[in-house]
Amino acid sequence: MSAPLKVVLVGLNSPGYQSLALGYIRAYAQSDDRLKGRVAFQTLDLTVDVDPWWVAYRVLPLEPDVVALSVTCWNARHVFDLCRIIRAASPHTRIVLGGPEVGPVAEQTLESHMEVDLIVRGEGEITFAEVLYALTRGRDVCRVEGVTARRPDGFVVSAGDRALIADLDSIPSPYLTGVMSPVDGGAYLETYRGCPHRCGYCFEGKGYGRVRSFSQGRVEAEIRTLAESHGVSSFSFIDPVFNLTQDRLEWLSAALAPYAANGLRLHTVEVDIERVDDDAAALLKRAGVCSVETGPQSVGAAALAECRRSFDPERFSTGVAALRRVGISVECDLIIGLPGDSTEEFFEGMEFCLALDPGRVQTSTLHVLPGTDLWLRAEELGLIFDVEPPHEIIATPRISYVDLRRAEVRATWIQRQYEARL
Amino acid sequence: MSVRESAAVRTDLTEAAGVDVVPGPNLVLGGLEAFSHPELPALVVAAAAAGFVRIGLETGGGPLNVGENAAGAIHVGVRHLVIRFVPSVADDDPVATPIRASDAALAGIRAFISAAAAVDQKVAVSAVVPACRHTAPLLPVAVAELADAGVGAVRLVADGEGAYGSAAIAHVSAACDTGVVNGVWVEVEGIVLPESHAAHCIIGDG
Ligand code: SF4
Repeated sequence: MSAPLKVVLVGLNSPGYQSLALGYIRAYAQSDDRLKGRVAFQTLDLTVDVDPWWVAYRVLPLEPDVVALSVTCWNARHVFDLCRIIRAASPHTRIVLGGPEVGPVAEQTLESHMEVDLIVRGEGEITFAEVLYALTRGRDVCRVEGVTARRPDGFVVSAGDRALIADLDSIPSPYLTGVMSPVDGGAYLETYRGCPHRCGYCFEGKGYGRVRSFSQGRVEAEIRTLAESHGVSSFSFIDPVFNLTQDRLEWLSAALAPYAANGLRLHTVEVDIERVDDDAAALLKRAGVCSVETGPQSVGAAALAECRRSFDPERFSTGVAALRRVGISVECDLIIGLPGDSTEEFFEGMEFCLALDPGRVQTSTLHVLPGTDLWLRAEELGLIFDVEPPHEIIATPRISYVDLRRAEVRATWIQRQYEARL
Repeated sequence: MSVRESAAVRTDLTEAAGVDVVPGPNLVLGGLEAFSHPELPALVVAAAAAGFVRIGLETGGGPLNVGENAAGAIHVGVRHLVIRFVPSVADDDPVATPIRASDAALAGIRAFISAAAAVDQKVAVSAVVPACRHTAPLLPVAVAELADAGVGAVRLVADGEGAYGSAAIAHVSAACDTGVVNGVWVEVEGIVLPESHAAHCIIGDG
């Protein structure tokens, strides 16, 4: 039998984060009987602040046949720098990318980045395993569904799309399989994929369509194992909306309550605040939630319409008040530079949020991300943005470049004033 | 003795120098120099006990370099500083005047911010800077220096009567731009800026 294919998965994460995406694709591929004994995996979970030359210093001695990375707008520049170094130092190594930054623009990415061989579009678990299978058998990876790749003659070709994974439980848990271990007493959990909302600036609603859930048994097993065997005291749920339905909230609250009673805490879970009443607030508290993150992103009618978001100031205020009553801090998010918004409307949004005294008001500048509705409609909406990641907005029909920068600075000062308190 | 009876107080951060309103109750102690008040620590403690959540001091900044003033202010509950900052130029003879008056203020700001960082406490420091035709050329550098010291906002306040010539207005506008590129919000009170910089002007009395 020939030597196993050496696969190195490299995560370039924000400091303090681990790549759940890489955990999933490794757990799935490792469970594929066809790959057993034929593929050897290694994961390097690093941070984006490590110089790509030093990341390459860690990767290259492993003499990988395949290097795979998940790309977001935040790490893309580092990823491409790293790929260039690896390509130059080890021309035979296949470089495989996936993730929201490259999937929706796979062909353009391969055309402009000669150092990259192959892109996995959409959900990566099955497609990546199929790519590895093709490589171990000497088959043509260009035919694998969900793949865009460069052929030996240099042409970039895309196979058909792969259907979404119907049964999420078919992806083994990275925690239960030991592929991932919690770091510093914290772990990331995902209970479902997709989002019922369709916010124009977000990839989540656009990219993964309908909501698909992991089974309750699977999620409960992860919670139990992490809390009881790994001593995890802090969970971060990456679900787009933690209180997606009342039933789910009740179930999760019940599953987490015994551990919350012993000190487990959930930080910054995303909630639909307009659906939070006193009962929901009590359920969140019981689950150990100490802070939540929510909109409104904008209070301007035009921006909300362009982004297909709803906003009811009264219900929003009621939700914040209910959470504050039970001692849960609320982070209200606002985006500067949404289509339709003026700077005045943005600051009206800040005023609205501050008046609620939610705990935190977080502002960020719009990023026009590949594959999102705003990215597809940018020309129609007159959005001018940086084509290079992280795709920050440069100007809108209502806010000039200079006024965007002014708004960022002024918003930062307001935030600082708000947070400087007893 | 209540806090209100015992000090020049302002309950609105905006009124003192804060550029935007945040929910309160908030309080700024000072009037001119907070540290000249003999019972300052007790006043801050009393303000906190009275329920004020954002307590600020108005100061020239120099007293923050004295003894444990910076750490002590943080300890008793001060979270905001409003620095009365007068830009000054270095003397031609650095031996005769080794330190500018404004250097003491900048050092005081740094002392306060590092005392806050040492106990992982968030603070907000702003500055009020008089702007007249004579000091206008110093304003861009003053804003840059304040930014470097850690100030988050600067209010340039018209000082004295009379119209501002185009040169002075250009300096004030440049000070606003210096702020933006250094991450400091600059507002201008009492001076009419051209349309390109109108976003920095405070309407009315602010
Ligand atoms: S912003 Fe949140 S609610 Fe909107 S589509 Fe994205 S994940 Fe869903």
